[in-house]
Amino acid sequence: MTQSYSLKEVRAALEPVADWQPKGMRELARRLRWEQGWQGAGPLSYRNLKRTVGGDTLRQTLRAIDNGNPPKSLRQAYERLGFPPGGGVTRLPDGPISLRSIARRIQAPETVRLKFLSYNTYLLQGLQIPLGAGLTMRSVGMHSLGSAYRSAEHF
Amino acid sequence: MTLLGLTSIPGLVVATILEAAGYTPSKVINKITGIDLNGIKIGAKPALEARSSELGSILSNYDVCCLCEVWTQDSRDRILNDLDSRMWESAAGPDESGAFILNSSGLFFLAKNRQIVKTERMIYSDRGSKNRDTDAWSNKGAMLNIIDLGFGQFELFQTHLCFGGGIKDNVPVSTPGISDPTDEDRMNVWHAELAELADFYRSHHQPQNVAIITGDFNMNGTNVREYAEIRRVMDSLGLWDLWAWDVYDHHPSEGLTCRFTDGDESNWIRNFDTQCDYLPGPQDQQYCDDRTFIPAPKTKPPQGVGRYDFLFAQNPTSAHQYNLEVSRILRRPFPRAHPSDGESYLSDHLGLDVTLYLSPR
Repeated sequence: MTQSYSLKEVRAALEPVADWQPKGMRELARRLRWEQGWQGAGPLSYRNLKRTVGGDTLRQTLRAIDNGNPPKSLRQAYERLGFPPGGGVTRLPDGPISLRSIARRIQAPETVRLKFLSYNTYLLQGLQIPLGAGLTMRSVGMHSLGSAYRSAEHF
Repeated sequence: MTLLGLTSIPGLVVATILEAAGYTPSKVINKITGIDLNGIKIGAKPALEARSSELGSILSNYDVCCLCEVWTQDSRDRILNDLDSRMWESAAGPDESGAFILNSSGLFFLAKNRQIVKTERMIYSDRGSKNRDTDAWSNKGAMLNIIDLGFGQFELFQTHLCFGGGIKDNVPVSTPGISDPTDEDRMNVWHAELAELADFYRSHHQPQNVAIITGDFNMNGTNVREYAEIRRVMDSLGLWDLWAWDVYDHHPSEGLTCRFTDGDESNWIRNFDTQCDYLPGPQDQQYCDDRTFIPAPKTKPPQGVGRYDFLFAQNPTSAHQYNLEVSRILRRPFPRAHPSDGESYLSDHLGLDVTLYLSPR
């Protein structure tokens, strides 16, 4: 028996807020992680560069990278920063992609769906750090009573 | 003390005499400066017990949770109290054992209706300096939990990297040898920890499994140099920063994940209003509006505020037994139903909320 899939449900699964859901098939397909495709970080654009280093004009943006010796091109700016955006846009694999192949990954009965949370819970209890516990007279290097101690790299 | 740096000094004889006479360095420093080095106190975070007790019911809506800063067994127990023990399995990261260690790694993993088939733990060997960084008094590190999917096994790595500092803030007056780390100090520690994390990953990752790495990296996605360093390591492992995937039109320097809660409590920021435009909806389902371009604030966020929390997913390979698909990451503030101690949220961080779809090939 053939499994039937709902495009609407696939969209909703990948994009939880209705207004933001991908409109067309191509946009939907780009939301999947294809082995023969490429997940991109965005184009080599001024917009991306400006979002990274600020500035209201290209001149200001390039000078924000190095005021004394600003880069002379967008490519040079990205190279100077060593910054990943600009590495290319998301590419789909060559050849046709069927709706079924998309939907299967999300909606097939055997697909495991895990609602996942990564969270720093901020549950630090009070601490009393016994800095003195790691000190000996030799380690702190007493010169005199007026020089409480020399810095110890590691207590 | 082999742990200690030994300085070569002409006053060594004086030191030896003082030591023999029962004067500890702490006593001498206390006498001269009034600073009690035996007792630098760092206060507990507000509403600690109440917040940990409230977490369980929130987490029960998830299937898998990778948590940081669950430092104590008491906090873990309070979380687990509200989770059905027949459904949930858990694993804690490295504990607080060891000389001059006061804190565990804080890492905690929870899985609902999924068997944890393997757990591995690692403590970073470089956690900063004890006279500089509170992190050095903890066993910060990384943890791997592998859960069974039926058709394969899913690897979830989590970590909490060093942030540094915290000692100087709690010493009342300027004291020789007590300082905050410089940017360079911090970068050196991160560099070492990321290398260890990468080694840990390479040691345990199995090619047929898909892996993710998540946690609080304490390196700021809004800082070009710090983000480039993270990406250098993660790219080398074939792991992708899901927030920065261009299909979402996000940018690595956007999507801050915490508010300011360092130093003097009177300066703390008590809400996420500058990090998060709240989506309309019921308060207990509150999310940030993370759809697209988020204009950078006009003023640079203070140190301690940034995009510190990351979720990296391994790129698909031909060796994988199954596919991993992901929904858009949404940052989630988790407001408390009944605020106390000035804390209106469960944490000073935003949660990264995402749905994972794992399908056999």
